[in-house]
Amino acid sequence: MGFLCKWCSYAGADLAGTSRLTYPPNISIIRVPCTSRINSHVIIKALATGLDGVLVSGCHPGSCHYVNGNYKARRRLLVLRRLIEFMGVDPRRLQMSWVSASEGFKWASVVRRATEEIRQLGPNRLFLEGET
Amino acid sequence: MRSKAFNREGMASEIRQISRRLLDAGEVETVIGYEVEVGGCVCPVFIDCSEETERLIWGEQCVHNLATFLKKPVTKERNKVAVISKGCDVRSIIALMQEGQVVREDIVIIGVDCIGQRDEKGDLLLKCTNCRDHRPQLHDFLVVDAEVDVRRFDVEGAEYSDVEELEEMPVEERLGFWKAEAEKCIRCYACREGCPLCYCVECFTDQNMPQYLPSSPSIQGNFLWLMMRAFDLAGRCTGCMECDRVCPVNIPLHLVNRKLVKDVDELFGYEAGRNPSERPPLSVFSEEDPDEFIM
Repeated sequence: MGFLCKWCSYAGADLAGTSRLTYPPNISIIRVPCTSRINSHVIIKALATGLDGVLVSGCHPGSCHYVNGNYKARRRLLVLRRLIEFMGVDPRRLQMSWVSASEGFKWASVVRRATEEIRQLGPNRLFLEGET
Repeated sequence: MRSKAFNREGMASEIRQISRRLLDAGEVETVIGYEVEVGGCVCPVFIDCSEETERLIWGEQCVHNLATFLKKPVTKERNKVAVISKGCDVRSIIALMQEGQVVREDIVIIGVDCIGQRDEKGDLLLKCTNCRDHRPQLHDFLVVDAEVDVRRFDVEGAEYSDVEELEEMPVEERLGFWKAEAEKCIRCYACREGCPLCYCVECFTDQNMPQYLPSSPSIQGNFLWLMMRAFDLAGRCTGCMECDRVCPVNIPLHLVNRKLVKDVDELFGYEAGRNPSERPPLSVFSEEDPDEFIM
């Protein structure tokens, strides 16, 4: 699951597509206005309901369309990663990246890297059938 | 206003006297304090007239964080209330002030020195074992305890040995630990009601269009509730441990709260409920925040 800010990373992913770059198809992208707009509950819920990984991607520091949204998101995810680790979820399942609108290549490599890392962790088996 | 130091019974009568004066002068509508219930246990009480101030007590079982009542509609509809607060309770009030939930002018804080509260068995509460707030840092009136001496104020930093113990477990074991705890949860939401900082008019767990969380108890839903509740308190929790105390099935909620308190202190050097003009750390940012985890 990917949460992409619509100003940078979503456009970057679009560029990757129009440039005909290939990257693993197992990410489904949700466009959000800003990385700071992502409610952390949604990330927690995605991980606890069985998604293998979550990738949050936004503008590089200093280039947020809303001036400082990505800084706030970074701080929040920093704490959230520590919390999920404490609750027993591997923090590598929650990835974050900075991808600008012109970085189609970077987007493709980020997805490749994230997919590879999460694949190594194996499928997310926090809750087994019957525990839900 | 400073007054002279008292013993325990003297403190109670001083509290009564201050409350009587405030109520008689019409300065406050209600005093929120402690009384002894019929069964003998101590519980919170709202005192509306000066004749009833005799019910107010002070002792070693005044464990409740009365700041919790400041968020309730029943208090908000009153013009001005006085609240009897220990050092830890005052930190919750400051946190509420930081977030614009309490206006300083609308409350009168009757600060009370506290040398530690005890549970029914007479054991010192966990939060009291490493207390640095024997004397409330913010108060309109201060009831001084003769037993609070200055040396007790400089305790070394907070103690996290039980949190660290859990941190050292392998991830899977920790998941097992929390799943076992989540299984106990009956979703009574006492933790939410008891917490002074859980004040949303509509809690996310009550939202049902669309259904935010499964509302009936299930391991997964309970796990989500534990985690989301804790994250909402990240950087805000002052460590009063009311959630932990009120939990009817004894889930160690304090562990996850204190983990976040510890992290926020490590990462941002912030302690909740200290400075009324400071902003909670997750609503601000710094350009120097660590970003080694970002691709």
